[in-house]
Amino acid sequence: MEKSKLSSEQITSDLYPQKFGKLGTIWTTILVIWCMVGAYAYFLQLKNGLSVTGLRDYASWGLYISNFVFFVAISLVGSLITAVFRLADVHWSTPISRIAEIIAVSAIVFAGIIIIVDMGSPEKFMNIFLHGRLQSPIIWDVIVISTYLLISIMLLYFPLLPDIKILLQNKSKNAPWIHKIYTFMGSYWKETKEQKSIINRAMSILSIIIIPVAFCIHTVTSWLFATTYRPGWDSTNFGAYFIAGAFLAGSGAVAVAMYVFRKAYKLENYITEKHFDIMGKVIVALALLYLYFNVNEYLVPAYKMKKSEAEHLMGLFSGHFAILFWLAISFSMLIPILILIFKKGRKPLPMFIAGLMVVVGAWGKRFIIVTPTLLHPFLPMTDVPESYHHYVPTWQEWAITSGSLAGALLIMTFFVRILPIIPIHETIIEQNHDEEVK
Amino acid sequence: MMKKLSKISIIFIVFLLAGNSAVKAQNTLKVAFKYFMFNNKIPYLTVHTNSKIEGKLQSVTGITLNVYMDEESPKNLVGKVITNNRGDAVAIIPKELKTLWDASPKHTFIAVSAATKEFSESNTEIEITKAKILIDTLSDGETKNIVVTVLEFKDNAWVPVKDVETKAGILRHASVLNAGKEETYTTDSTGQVIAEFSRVSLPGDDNGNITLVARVEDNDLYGNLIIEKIAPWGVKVEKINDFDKRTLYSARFKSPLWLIGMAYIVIGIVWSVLIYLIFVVVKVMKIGFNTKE
Repeated sequence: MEKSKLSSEQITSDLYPQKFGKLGTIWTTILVIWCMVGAYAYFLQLKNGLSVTGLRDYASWGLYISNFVFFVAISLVGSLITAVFRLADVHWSTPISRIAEIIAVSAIVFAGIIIIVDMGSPEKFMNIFLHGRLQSPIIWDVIVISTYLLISIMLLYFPLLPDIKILLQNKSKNAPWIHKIYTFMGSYWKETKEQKSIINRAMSILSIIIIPVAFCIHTVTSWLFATTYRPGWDSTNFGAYFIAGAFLAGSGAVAVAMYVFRKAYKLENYITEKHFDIMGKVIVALALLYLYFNVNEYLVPAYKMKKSEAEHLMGLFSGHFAILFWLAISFSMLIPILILIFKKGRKPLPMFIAGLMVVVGAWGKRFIIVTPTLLHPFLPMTDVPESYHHYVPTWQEWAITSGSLAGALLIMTFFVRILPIIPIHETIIEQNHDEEVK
Repeated sequence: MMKKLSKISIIFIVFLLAGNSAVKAQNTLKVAFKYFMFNNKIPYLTVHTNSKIEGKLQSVTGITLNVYMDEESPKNLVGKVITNNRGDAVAIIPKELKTLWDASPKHTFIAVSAATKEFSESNTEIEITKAKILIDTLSDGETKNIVVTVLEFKDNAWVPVKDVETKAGILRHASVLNAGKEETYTTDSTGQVIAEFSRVSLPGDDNGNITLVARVEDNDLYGNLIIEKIAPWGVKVEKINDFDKRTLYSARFKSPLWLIGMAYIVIGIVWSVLIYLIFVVVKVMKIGFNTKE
């Protein structure tokens, strides 16, 4: 790799957090405004109730829950890149591990927030603790999300400690307020043998424990659907189907973030074409796996075409949701596979395009999983207004949903402004190790 | 030539319009109109509308009918009803018509619907003689009988009616179960029928009560008369309610023990590891603060 030629000072200089440039300032301003519009829409929802949304008795879960499932899915990538690759002693992922972790943390934070938004009255959240039933998958979801959030924060924080030491040593480069943050976060890190040993052990424990918790978080999210009796959700396959989809969505997001950070911070020496090439292969493998589960989920019921499921399935294949369904399938799986199976397709720009398609397709796929099923229950409600049979999200829902996406991007943006997005210390260590090997 | 062409065109258009209107001809609306008296209290009328549409007899929804007593005038209006999605509607005789109701032993009820785009107008009448049905039980320890009496209002008095077909049975969830072997009974000169209750070990409620029911159905003179009476002739059935037990469907603190145990063990293991890791951070902090650079 090219980075082996670089000195430690050069690596530190290259990976040091930078002030926002003109483009960065514009980007951040857009995100802040976007979030404020979302916050205003949420204020309207709080003031006037959920009636400002398109949610009614039939489609009681719409954009918000689709978005929640999307965030949970995206967050799973942290465990894949950091924990799975760490345990497998895979070193090529070092430059992208923090990208994966910050994606995981920001996504899981907004997954929690969007659930509260969906409740309508936020004070109802307390009812989960006051009146929650342990038998309910919703309670399991609350437990695993909070657990996963804590593990992800730790997994992000521990490897940051050596980097914070480097940042504290370069006081002249730091704005005073940022230096205070570094002091607060890691002034105690002296890199003693004992400290390193304890943290290495802690990282190993975290890497092991995050895998079952990560599998639980998305399995339990799938059970929110699969434990109900509805067409499209009544499946024993749902846990594995959701996990496969989540790994794919998260990997797509990492590919996009890799390209953006590489371009914005000129990290070509660190996030190399080799990284894109390997990541591209990972995405193809995950897309094929997810395609397999999709074939199971749709082809088997379609072969039987039970009357109660037929309306739902026909709505997806050739009816009201057909365009979105086929776009979601094509964007999240078919087209990325076609792009990424070729070596040229695994270059940075095609990878960025494919990754973006995976992410957009993954969002659409979650909407396709959530909404059409709600509109076609096995036992239709009687005497409801005609409008209840359709779901059209209002501008408030779009504003809140897109605002939450902007919020997640804003967390990443501020993170990269304050802390190194590629581990400095680990990169230097690996480079020295590579030179020793040579 | 042009005039001739114009004439032909006009005739053609008129012909087309006529043909079109013929296609959209109104369907005939059929109205089933019935009188009911339940437990000798407030009498009511039911309406069911249907029509032969595209070769099939289908219930008709949303038909507005005015129901009158004795004559079609606003003061005799029993009610204005609209048929529901099953084509049914109910009109209860209001207290304002009590004087009119009491004034005669016989009444004519009229259901009128106006013509709509799809259906022709309708006018349906039924004539009812005021009657009531009584139910009683007769038991000598070994045999149990249901005694049903049918009376009609005649010359300002309730008099027994002979030769009225009645049903006597037990009310179950979805239907009426015959009390004995007979499907129907006919009243004698005293207006009575005695139906032997031959159902042994019939499940009742918590106290062994069952609901006996006697009916006169679709009688040309009296319409539909129904009466019910509770009798302790059933077997006590203790209802098993799982709700208070530990099931997946029970309340918060009634979760199954295995679920509670499993959940808390898993949560306990994971969170004890996380708490340990927090202590690790504290330990690392202490080491750091006690170490000089």
